Amino acid sequence: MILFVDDEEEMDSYRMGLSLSGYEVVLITKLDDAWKYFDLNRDRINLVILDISMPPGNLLKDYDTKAGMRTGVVFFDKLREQIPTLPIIIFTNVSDERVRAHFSNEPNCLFMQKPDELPSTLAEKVGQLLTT
Amino acid sequence: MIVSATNRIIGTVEAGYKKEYRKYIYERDVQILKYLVDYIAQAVEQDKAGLLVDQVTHELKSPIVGIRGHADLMRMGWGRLTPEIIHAKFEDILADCDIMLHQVGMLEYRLGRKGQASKPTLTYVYRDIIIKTINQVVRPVLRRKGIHPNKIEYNPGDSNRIIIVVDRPKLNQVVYNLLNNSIKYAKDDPKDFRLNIEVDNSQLKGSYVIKFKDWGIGIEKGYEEKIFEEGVRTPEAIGMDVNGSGIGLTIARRIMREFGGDLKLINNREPTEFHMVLPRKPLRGE
Repeated sequence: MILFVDDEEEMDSYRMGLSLSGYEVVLITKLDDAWKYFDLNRDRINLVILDISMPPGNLLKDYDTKAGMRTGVVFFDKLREQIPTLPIIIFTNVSDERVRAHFSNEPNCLFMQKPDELPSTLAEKVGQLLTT
Repeated sequence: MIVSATNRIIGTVEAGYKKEYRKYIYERDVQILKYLVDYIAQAVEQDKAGLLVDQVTHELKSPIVGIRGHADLMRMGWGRLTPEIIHAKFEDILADCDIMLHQVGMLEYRLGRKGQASKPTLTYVYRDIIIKTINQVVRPVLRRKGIHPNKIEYNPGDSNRIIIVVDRPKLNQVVYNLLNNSIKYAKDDPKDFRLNIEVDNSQLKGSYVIKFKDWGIGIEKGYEEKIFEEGVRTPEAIGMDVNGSGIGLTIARRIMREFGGDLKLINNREPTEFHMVLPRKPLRGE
């Protein structure tokens, strides 16, 4: 199962694209809900797709998320604390090279920019990450 | 303390030593302190500027990514998607195009430009401003959030007859900003969403008033005027799970005042009520 964490409603096309490609996908738009879902379903989740700029919710309100513009960076660390090998795709509009560099050496992690990807190419990348 | 790049005064700093520790303050100490403060101020400004670019590009890229996504989904699912889904995706594409146009307007404001003025056109307030914005932009956004469109109540009164000559896209921007706020700052349960729009032709001599009432989180006391200042968001809005830049109302009021009208907060909550005051402009040929 794929957990897709993104606060933008426009992501529904990407969710549907993954479903059409045969994946079971759960799209959650609020970080607190995503964390609860992850906690309850951690054994079933094979991969997480994660946005970077999101409201921090209660979960990360005391962290330095740069006014929500870097929330995904902190959430990534929390997920990896729980499951260090969990495949994660960072899927973001953020073009800051420092953010890309932050994830460049992370194993089982792909950094993808939304403007570069279509629902069909996201589905391909998910397949590649799950088979490596 | 002055930011050298913008000449903006951002505060003052006092410094000194206890007499028993050191008798004099030397000019060099003051210089060092000044350099340190300037350096910190510059770093803070650069960080803020970087985040501003992120905020603006994030808002603009979202509908662009949305449009490409909807189109690619229809391509990959052609023959497998139901007509209802395809129809919804076309609606989404049109809504995202309109959202993008509104975001460009906001970007122009943030860059310090007034935005391109359109030629004033004959405008039916109810049909061209309210209904158009609801149908083109708001309905698809409501659908994505699971809110039924009948949660928007609108009472045209005799506004069907109200015609003004105005820069229509700018007025649409004001309505979009107000409706967008109502949706963004609604209470959590979609069933609790309620928005009421009413056009009042009688209240003010020389003006039309469009009243927007919603039953969302409301505006905290003490923020009635501050919400119209650039970058200001109420603590409750910041605490909610939505991103925002705090300029939507600033732009909306500025546009209304340029028209010779106004945008006012009439009631803080239950309902939160804004009045959009439109001057009665003479019709062409009058």
